[in-house]
Amino acid sequence: MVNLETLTTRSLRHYELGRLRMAARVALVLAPLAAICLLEPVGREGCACCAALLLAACIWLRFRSRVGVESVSTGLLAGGIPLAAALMLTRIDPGCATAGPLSTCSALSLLIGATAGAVVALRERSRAPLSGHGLLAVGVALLTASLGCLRLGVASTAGMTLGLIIGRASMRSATAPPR
Amino acid sequence: MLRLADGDRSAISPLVEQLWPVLLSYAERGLRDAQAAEDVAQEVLFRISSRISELDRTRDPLSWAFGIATFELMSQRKRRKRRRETFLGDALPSAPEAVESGEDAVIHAELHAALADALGHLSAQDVEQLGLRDAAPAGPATPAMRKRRQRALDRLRTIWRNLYGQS
Repeated sequence: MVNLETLTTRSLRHYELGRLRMAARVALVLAPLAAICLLEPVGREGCACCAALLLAACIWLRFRSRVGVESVSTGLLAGGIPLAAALMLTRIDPGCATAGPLSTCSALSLLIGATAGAVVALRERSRAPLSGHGLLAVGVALLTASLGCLRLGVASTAGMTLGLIIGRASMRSATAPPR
Repeated sequence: MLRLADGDRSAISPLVEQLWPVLLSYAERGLRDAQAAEDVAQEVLFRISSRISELDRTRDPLSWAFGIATFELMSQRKRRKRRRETFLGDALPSAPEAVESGEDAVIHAELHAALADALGHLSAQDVEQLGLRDAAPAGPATPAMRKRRQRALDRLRTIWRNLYGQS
């Protein structure tokens, strides 16, 4: 006869291992992203640091709960836009790294950040019952975007962050049901 | 199950309490062996726990769980079919005749006697060619030896037909 308590303990261990395996699968997406960023000649240290932080955060969030899984998916999707844009900007205009806060690069970063914020807000709306999903997704999106934006300098990173927050807030208010 | 899939660890205890008897009875019905059923039910429970984080919320969780259970049961059945080894202990027969019925034994004895009688009509050389003596020819069979054996067999068939009227 099987002891139910032992069975529960062993089931929980299997559950945690399965959850960890599922959470770690995000590395399959993050590893190529990090590799692309690390191939760039400048800002490798910052990129490696961000990649490690992003990987740890994604695994932890996905391991914790479904809200985390959804947040990571949304964050990576939204953060992918500024990441790609930042990688392109580095190629097109290498002067962005030293540009001031009122430069074209910062304005572009703000705009791209706003787009990513809008994506987060839209996905958040379709997953309304998940509390805290939006904020976690913004965090993941910021880290993902930083993979590419850090080498663009403080002004661009700040612009992108601001854009992300403004974009999310605007989209949320625009799509909110009327009271 | 959905709570556990969402990451609520406290849901594991009620899940095990509710799912275990169902899985056990399902395995028992599928295998008709209480000990094996318990092992399979445990394996199914651990597999469900391990994969529940990947549960698709659009599907019915119970059907999903029973899908895993059915797959595991079928695998177990296949394994048992492949590994059909039963220990017979002291009842292990020393020769195939030991498991024959009385009627089979009589038929066998009669056939042996008939064959011995037919072999008695063969020459000693032919009996040797058929490999029915201890001194079997050493080395690989040459075409000439095969031919001689074939002829000896033909002669035995003819003697059998003459004696018993059938081949």
